[in-house]
Amino acid sequence: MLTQETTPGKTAAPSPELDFADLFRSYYRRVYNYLSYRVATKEDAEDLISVVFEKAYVHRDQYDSAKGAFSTWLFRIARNTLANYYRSRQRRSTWEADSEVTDDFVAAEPQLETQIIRQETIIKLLNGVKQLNERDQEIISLKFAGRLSNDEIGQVMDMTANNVGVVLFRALRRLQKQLQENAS
Amino acid sequence: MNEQEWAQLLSEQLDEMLEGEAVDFSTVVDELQGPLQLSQQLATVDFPPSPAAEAAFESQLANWFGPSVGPAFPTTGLTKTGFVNYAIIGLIGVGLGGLLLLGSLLWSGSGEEVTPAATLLPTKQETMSESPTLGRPINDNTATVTPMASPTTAETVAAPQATTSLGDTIQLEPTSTVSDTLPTATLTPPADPLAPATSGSDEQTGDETNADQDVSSGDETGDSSETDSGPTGDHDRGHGNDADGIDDDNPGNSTGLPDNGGGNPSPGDFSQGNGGGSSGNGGQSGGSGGQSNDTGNGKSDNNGNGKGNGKSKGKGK
Repeated sequence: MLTQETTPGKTAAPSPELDFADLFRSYYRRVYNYLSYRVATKEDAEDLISVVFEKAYVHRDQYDSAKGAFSTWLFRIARNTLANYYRSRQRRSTWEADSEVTDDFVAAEPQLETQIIRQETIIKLLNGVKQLNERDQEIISLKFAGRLSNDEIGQVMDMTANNVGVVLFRALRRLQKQLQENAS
Repeated sequence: MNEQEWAQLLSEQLDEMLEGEAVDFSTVVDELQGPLQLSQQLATVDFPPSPAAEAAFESQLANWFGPSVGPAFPTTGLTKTGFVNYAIIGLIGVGLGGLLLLGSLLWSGSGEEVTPAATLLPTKQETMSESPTLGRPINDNTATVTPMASPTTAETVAAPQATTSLGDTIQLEPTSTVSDTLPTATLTPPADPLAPATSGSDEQTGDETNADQDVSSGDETGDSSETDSGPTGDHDRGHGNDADGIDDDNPGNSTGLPDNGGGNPSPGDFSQGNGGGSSGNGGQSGGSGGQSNDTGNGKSDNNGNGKGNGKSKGKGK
């Protein structure tokens, strides 16, 4: 159904024809979750994901399946888009208790009290993640929001899988410590 | 175990957890209890995109790749709302289209009523209803008028039939301009074989045009135009329009005053109050006060008769 277009002046991708529409659909939720981990507002996440897939569509002829998985290629675009977003904003926002983003993932809780407790827990957790360094935040986001394996995270961040595992282990331990400090 | 081994073990358990397998914390070493619990909390955090964002993404994909087989995510209530909206818009569109169609039909129907053809038919019916009472005299009068349309046959046709009681019929029935024509077509054959062909065609047009304005005006001025005298300046001048001032046909109605045939001579009007059936175009006479609005027509077909009758003056009794 989909024909891979070639940009003039560039060599055609050697990969077989791919159904980019299905690929985009299959990764939409994961990329959106990853972006939502990294930004504070829902609007920003929706704006960013639109930019991410537009870039992916425009440069889809540059994707070579022989060089890596589609997930790593797409998350690399998302990561670069996020970096540009941070550069334009020059700041990192923190999660707030009244953030509308948190209303979505606590709405599934049946009890209102449970919703409030869970919302507070998640906000603390995400704020703790925000206090980590950039690399730790990136690895945690790619791991738990993007649901990428260590190999895939390594390809996105130009690291080895073992190194990703160690960095992730350290990041979680630092997060645990950070949450304990915030609680005390 | 060194840190790298702990990290490797944690990564394996995280992969199992993210794949949906339950984590048995009882078997997890104490070193990994804290990171695994945090990982479990982080894995539950899910940010669902809004339906609007999903719809925008789907539309974007449709623009890029064409119509899709189906969305990756289940349809939400937004599509139902959109469907309802589309249905409402469609119904409104159909309703508006029906109204426009109905309006156009009504408008076109009213236009047909205004057309001259529609008015001619009832006029002829009136003529038919009137013709039984006035049929004979009017026919005779028409026979005299017919030669005016074709002067070559006027003398032959008019002379024999002008002797009949022409003036009575015209004076008594002012609106006989229409009725004159139809009987003329039917009755001219007995008068003369040559006259019917010419008079019938000329008067046919004159009647139709007269019929329009007689219906609208309905006054006697139309009759004054019919006070056509024959080529000889006959007795009948309509309402006392005889040149000699004596209306033989209708002496009681002659006022003794100069009468322009009941029609006011309109400036610039070639047929002064004279658009009668003889001219064939008298139908365009204004219908008010006998003013004939017909400038070119009254003159074209029937010059001599039109002027002669309009300016005739009579003394009357």
